[in-house]
Amino acid sequence: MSNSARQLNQFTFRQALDGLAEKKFTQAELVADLERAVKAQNQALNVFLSLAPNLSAESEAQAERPLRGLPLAVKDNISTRGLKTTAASTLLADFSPAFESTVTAKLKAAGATIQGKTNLDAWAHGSSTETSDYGRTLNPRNPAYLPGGSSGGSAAAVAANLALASLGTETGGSIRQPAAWCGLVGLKPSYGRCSRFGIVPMASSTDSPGLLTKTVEDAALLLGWMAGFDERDGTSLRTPSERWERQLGKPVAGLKVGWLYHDLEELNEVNEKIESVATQLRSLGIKVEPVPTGLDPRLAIAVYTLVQRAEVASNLARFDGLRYGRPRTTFGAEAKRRILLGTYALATRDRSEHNPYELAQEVRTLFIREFEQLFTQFDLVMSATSPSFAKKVGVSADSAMFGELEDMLLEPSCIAGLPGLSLPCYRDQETNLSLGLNLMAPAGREDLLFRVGEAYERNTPWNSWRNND
Amino acid sequence: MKQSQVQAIAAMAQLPLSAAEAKVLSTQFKETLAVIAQLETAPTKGVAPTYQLTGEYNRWREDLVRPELSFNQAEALSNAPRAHQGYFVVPRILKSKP
Repeated sequence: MSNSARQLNQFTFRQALDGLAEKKFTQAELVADLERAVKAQNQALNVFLSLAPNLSAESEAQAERPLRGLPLAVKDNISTRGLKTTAASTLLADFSPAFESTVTAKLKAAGATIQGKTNLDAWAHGSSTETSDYGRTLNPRNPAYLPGGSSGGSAAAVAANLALASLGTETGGSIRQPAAWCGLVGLKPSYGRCSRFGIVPMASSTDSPGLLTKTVEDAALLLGWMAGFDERDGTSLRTPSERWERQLGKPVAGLKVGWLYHDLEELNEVNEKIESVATQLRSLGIKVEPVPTGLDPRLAIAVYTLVQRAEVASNLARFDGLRYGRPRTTFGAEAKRRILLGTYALATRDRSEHNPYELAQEVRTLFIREFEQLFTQFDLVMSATSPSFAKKVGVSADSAMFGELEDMLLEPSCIAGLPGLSLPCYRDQETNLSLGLNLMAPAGREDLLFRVGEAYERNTPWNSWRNND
Repeated sequence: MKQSQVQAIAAMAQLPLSAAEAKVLSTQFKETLAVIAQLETAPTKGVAPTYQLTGEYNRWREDLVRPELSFNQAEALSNAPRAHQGYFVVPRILKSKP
């Protein structure tokens, strides 16, 4: 691609940082290209719910900071002071936070700017971004298909080059699945790695702010600025943030990866492509071994469904329509359903004195133990990110557990609080849709994800942006 | 699940439901009950629940006012649907005179 045809919005975050440092272009020029792209495509794709005013000036003002004023798109369930935060619900249509979430505060302190707020399934309750109160988002790779969810707007923003990188959140799969469906890198950090303060809460015991980026390097770089202990989040990890980009290029030969869920029949089509991934990893000197499925991942769906709904019911109690937001009757059907089913899970004891929430948390322990056992044999484990390619627009309607089923391969690592990285591992020539590889590491070992992920990315043709030069 | 049970749960959740909504929702409990039945097949005898992953319990902080972490009154009221002279306006709870 010749320089004269280059649109600056097509760069990766790293390429943009370097370009600014080398004075190849200015913040104003970069913002102009981003704004032009947004103007051309946002209406059709429905990616951004709101855009920050004065982005160019704000960006220029941060020129000397580490992140040089570069803009980031932010999922609209992450509170941004003075910028409307709706969680894609009409209940919060008029809500403008008087506080900043910790993750955006940290990124702003490093000199990033907020480009705008992206669409999601309302309250993050979904895996399609079809259940937003503000209309569905389309998959930029092929607009007849869904971008996935709930961070579908954040995924589409990056996939369409409307944003350099974006923030998302994952509770049961909501970063990695849309990243896979849109052909991007999706990072769900270890639970507690990034502060939940300011995130509209869903399931407090699994909610994890994270990133959707064009490359593994961008995710490694940005995580360093986002992560860290926060006294205002009671489950924030005390381990300090790292400069994870220093992991890139470290040797990977000799690492051992366990391949999960390869023996599940429903994954036959996808597993063929993951077999190719195993071959490619082996060519890098990594040992890949298929692991017979122990606990059925469908059981993780059951755990996640109950735990999430119970915690959602508790968390959405704060929306009383008195201090902020519209009345509780404004909740959409999906939110009402989850609140009710969650309340039932918390309030019930059946004949055998089982409380469903407690029972789910016992089964959760089984999954945690199984991963601990796996990590005595393997450095990492991997699976397909999604059981399928992106699905067509309209499929999520009237499917009661659509979200939870789509995220089957991700829920085990979510309930265990493990870090996971999804990266593109195949692209269909006809549909232009991608498949994602899901790498999972022990809690706190994002370094291994970046090391192996970047090596894979560097040695395969699946990343659209890597060789932009 | 009977509609009356659904309404009882809705009352617990302070979630007013129309009769039509209650009717639809009463049919959707089936799927949750199936999920619970599935969990009951797992070998959880003697297994402790994991409620959250950090292994810590209550975190405490000093009982000191930190203005930088608090709203002032204007900020606190900034999204109030109804405010009056520095107060949140709430629905009447007490119907009769004390």
